[in-house]
Amino acid sequence: MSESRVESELKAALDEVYRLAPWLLSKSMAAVRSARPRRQGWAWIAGLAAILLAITSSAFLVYVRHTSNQSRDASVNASFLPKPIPQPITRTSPGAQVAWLSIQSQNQQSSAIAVDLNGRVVGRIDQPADSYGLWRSADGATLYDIRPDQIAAYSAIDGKAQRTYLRESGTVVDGAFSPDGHWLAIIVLGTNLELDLIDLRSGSSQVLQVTRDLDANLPGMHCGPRPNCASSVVWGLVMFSPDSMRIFTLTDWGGPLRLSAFSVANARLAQSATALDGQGRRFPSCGGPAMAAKILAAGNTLVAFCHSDGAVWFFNLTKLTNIGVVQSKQDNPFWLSPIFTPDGQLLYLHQWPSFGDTMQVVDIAKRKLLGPVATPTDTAQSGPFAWMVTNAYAGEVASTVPVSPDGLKLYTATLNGVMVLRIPDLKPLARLASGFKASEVWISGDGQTIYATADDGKLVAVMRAGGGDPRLTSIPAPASRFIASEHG
Amino acid sequence: METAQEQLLIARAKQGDVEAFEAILRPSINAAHRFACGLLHDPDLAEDAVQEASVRAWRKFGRLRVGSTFLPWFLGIVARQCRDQMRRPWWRVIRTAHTQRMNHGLPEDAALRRAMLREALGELTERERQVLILRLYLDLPWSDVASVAGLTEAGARTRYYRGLERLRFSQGYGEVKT
Repeated sequence: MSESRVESELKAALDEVYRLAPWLLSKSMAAVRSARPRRQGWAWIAGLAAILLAITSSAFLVYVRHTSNQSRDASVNASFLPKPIPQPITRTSPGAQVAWLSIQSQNQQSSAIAVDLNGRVVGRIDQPADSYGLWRSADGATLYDIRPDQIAAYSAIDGKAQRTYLRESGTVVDGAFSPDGHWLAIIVLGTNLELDLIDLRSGSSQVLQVTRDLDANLPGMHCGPRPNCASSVVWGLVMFSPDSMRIFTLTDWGGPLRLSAFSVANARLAQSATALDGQGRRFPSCGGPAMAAKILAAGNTLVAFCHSDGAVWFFNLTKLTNIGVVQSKQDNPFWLSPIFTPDGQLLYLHQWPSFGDTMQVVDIAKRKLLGPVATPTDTAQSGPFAWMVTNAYAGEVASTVPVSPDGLKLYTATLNGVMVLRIPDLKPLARLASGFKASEVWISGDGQTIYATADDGKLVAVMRAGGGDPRLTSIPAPASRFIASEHG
Repeated sequence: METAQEQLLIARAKQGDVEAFEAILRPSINAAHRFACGLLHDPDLAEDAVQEASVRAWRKFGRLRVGSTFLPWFLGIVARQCRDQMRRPWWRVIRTAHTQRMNHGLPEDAALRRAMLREALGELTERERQVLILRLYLDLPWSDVASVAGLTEAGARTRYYRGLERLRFSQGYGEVKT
């Protein structure tokens, strides 16, 4: 065996025992932050005594929690988290109270049906085969069918067609509605990557090119004989600031990441700044095609979640700089669902029950992570978050975030109804539709009505948020998901 | 990380700035983890070792000499932590002797051959093992390899090639040069 062969074999042998640990920095820093200064020699006895005391206390607490049903309150952990700020209820139009569900017909045609507060099917939209999908407006009153060269608008009350808008042709990379309902921004990959800003009132649009890197990394993507997928694929997100006056795009996050800012002041689209990894700034990268992001803190902070490695990025939008990364614990890509609370204070990261059913929470202001906390599987079991559910689906990605519009409660589907959990500590407050095997939950715009699909997708349960018997509605074809305002 | 920037962060961290320490640790953590994996052959134990080494580094940060770079100093702490960790569970050091020779031409033997190579790596002297991993696996410059292992550059090179020879011999080829 030659020397070089031993070297290459040894590298391979060492690779076999190496496993990426993207959470290691945050884990290590958590240990560093909690580490006390080095003890003096004389103090070791005191340290030992403290450890013994801690162990004894922990054992006592565990004993007490296991023996007392009164100990489920998670107030100890809640003390680390900020209290939620009640949000005003703004989606009060009749259309915003009607649930829309995607269904798959027998001929594989994509359609959506509407179910109203009384459990009646009140509308249907059949989408053409080349539709990119149905998006729901920020106020919940309109649905938009994104087609190759136009956008069709429908009333959310009954699905009646309202009007069409022209759009730039090309592949839709991402889109966002402005919170004030005035604009729809889409980033489109045609010959170039473009930001198309459509005025939903007048139908006019403005287009600006978004700079992209033709050599951008797209980890895991293969495009046949072509050397680089970047000619046909772009990873990108578009977001509005809460005041609807600014737009931000996050593109090429496989690296080098680019963060661009646009202004919509005086109804005129203009690029105001761009920042690129490596050019005076250090940005993180995300090794997969999916990210979820939200602009928080009065429009000054962008928080982005990488589905590939579970990292949470923080950007200062005034300076377009990365101000931190919090590494959550995610054993495999896409196991966590990000749920932003409407007040912008917390980001819950829920691991799907089939992958272990845990919850982590990020305090946005402090950029601190709590958890992961395992969901107890026995109602007699207590845990830091004191859940009493056996299965808690917190929705998929940000598309169906089951947080109440006032930001005070989280609704989770379980195999025994819908649990109402208090934010921030997730203390169970109530169980709705007991016995109903729920799969997904959607909350009406005013927060008064809760809709849940059955786990086989064939039934929808409609119930009042305050309790009472649910109305069950059969739907013509199995539902795949709710169409929520977050445009999933 | 540029030297001037690192020195600035080191100065801040010496004054107790934990954010500066994190900024220094960030670019070194993966190398440290790979190093620990190479020494311990167990990614979970390696994570523990790096985490513990991070705390040790923070506590002993005042001892990092002005003008020194962080990575070799930190890897030295990781090496000591790994050594401590290997000492703790005594049953881990019990090894079985090689009982068979491999047919090196068969691809299905590759996994077993690599396992035997790791075992052989574990039988090298501590410094030989460190030097091999640092140079071969982490691709560190000789000066850093020597610094971590507490050797001169020439000493590090000697141990590297001696270690390779021992591995070759362990796999059934060649003789040990002394």
